[in-house]
Amino acid sequence: MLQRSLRRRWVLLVIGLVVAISCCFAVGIGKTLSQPLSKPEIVFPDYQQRSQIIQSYEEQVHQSPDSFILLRLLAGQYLRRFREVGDVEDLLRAEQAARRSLTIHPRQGGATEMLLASALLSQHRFQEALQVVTEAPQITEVVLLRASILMELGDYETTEQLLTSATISSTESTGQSAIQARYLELTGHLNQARQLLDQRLQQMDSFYTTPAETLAWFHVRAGDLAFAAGDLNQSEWQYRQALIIFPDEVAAYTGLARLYSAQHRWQQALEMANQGSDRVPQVETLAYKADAQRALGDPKGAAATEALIEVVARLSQVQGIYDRALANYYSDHGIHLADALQIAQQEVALRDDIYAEDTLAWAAAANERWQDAQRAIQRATRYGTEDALLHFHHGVIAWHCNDLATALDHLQWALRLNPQFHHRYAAEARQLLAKLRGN
Amino acid sequence: MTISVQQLSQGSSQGLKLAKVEFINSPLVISWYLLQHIQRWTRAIGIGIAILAVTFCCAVLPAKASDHQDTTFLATKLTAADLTDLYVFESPNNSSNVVLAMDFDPLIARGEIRPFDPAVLYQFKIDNTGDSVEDLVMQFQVEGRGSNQKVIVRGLGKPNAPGTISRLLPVRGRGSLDQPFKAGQATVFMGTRKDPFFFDLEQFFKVIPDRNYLLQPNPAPPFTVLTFRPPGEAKDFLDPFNVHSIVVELPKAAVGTGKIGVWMTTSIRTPRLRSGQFTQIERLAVPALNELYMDFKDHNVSNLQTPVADRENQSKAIRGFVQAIGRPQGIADAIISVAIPDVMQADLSKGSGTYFGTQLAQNFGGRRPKDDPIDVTTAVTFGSAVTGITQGTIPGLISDNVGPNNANFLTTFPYLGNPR
Repeated sequence: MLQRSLRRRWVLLVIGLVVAISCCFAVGIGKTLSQPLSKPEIVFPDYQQRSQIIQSYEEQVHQSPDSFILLRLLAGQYLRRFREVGDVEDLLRAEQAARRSLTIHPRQGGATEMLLASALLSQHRFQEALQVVTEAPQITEVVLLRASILMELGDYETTEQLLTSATISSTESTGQSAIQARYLELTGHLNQARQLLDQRLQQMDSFYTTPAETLAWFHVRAGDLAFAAGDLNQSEWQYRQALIIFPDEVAAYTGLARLYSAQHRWQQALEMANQGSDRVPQVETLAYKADAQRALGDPKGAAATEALIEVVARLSQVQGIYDRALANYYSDHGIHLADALQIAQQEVALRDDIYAEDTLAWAAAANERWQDAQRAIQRATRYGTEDALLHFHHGVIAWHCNDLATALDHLQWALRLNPQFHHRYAAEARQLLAKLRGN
Repeated sequence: MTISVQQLSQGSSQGLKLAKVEFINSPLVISWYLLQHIQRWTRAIGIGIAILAVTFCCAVLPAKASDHQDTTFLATKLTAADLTDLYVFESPNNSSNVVLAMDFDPLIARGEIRPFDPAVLYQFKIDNTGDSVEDLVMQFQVEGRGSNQKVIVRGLGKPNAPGTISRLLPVRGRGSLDQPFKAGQATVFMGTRKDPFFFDLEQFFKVIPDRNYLLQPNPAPPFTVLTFRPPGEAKDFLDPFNVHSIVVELPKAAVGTGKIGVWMTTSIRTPRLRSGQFTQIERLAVPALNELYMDFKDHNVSNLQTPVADRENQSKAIRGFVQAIGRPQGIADAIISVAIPDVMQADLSKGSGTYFGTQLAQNFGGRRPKDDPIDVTTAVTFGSAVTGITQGTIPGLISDNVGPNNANFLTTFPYLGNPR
């Protein structure tokens, strides 16, 4: 335990030092955070040529079907197009091309294995992805991918060990920064995570040829972290920046819908949710849409949106996929509570990460299974993750369990992190706090 | 008093539940949704965990040839700064002129439009005093974004300070991409070309798979595949690909009078530097030197240094490789004597040249686009070329059996063929 704690401190110290030194050198990074509305840098819209490039590679592969390098390049392009367009067929194509490449020439040093693992991961085939990277040569990039998969599976101890070794071997990749930032975020070091990501973004923004979707995704992540920190102006700017860079960045629409909902800017929330769900009908985005419709006095529209959520849920079940966003939606709205609990339990069984535990805690709470809820929320918050919604959940559950001191502590924590963390729960956290203080 | 989660969730749609169930259960509606949304919904699988996948999509870009996709940073993040090949040759059309060509940003697919990055400073560096320190530099940048990118040329001139930190020289000329133009005494071309490099990369990776840039540390030989493919079966992997090029033709007299050493660099601004300064992120001259002999983890060290440091670093790698394949140290000595420091040597006082000819044949030396540096390097390393040493030769590795395709070259400036 002591060893683990020391190791974690060491990882954080190293990452912190990198961040601190970089920030000392960085010019105007503080300005970036506090004065966000500068003219955006535009990158080359490489995504517009993706299908043409893929066609070129497909023709080459047709001519040279035994070329493992061309198959690998093709797999990489399919993955890029999946991220840009969201067509799951591209994931399957990428998987097939990567597998063919590895069959032709099994010793490829980890590159093709990473493509294969990425394709599997994006299909939520976590264990298969983990197996691929575990058996691949342990180059830095593979180790980082492994760390990232393990983080999704909730194995933060092994993640920490892998990040320690990766930190030693290389500090140069943007991918490494993203994964380190995620680890910092989950383990209660939100500001360090933001600094690391912002510093990397500053460099990425200076290059015109950075792939547009990649850069947009980094801006979305920066927006997510800014929202978590209650820096709503910066969060909005980052999401908007992402959409300027890559107009189909669904995560940016979802982020903006969440942000505007939290601020009760319902018309804008609805617009963003519409834009996002028109591209990919995700439960979270649809949920913001339904909430916005209801707030704007459109119960029929809200009902239709909720019906679509149900369709998505049914399709999920047919495919054996359990969506934590759906469970949260059910719990939040007090509907299908047994389903919510079942989905949450399936999620924990599939990948027992912080947010699966939180989903389970909230679903258990919605089903008034307070002891189960308490156990789950304690696990969800054990790393001190600075996410206001987690702490709100913890506060409510603790209050129901008559642990008033813990309730007070977590509700205060939630509001301190982000006074506008949720369109409804932020106000309810204040009400509950007032009651507790009244007691 | 207690508040339930349900109470906290006031505003939820209990009243809508029935209507919703009826709506959902309508076969017509289900069919419509299945048709309209199933594909879009299935797309959503995975997007929910985009936090992971982006890192690895952009982290994985495979394949490397002469020096194509050198180091992880260059291959995954800034391919625009990724140098591939340097050519230094006597002008075919004017014996008073010398031509310098720099290729970078590899693996441009047929028909792909790839822009230039204004953040990158490209430089030819020329030593005309024999100390591996640049006496003259010529600098290139693009300005602007979108379809209006223009080329800016600075130099030929003395650098403000030699080394890995560069400052810009005064502007000598401006021009359009993909069109020759004059900048002082130089004729300049910057644009997309057919990649002139030719190599059976596919088989090379089967021979030495662990030179693949993502596999580190590279285990030592012995090799599991001991031959390149025979003529007729061997394939030039780079045949379908284009590359970005800068080609300059200028009077020999502007560069020097005798032996020169040329290398090329890419540099970017970083926040830690003062305004107007660029820091070197890649350096290259002699082809296949890094790829064949040097551990990948050392590539970036080499990229960030000047040629002055090569004797110690690269010599050690060459000796280690030659020893690992079981060949006498005389092979390593020969390679080191001609290839280290990593600068392209040329003798401007001579009329025509061959690859490594400055060192080995007292001619112009340099490297022409049709030269076959892979065959020269493999013939020395695995055969008896230059040294006459026959001990431990590996005959199947003496040539990759891929030669130049005349269709990929021009007889007039800019000499590198039109893009595919």
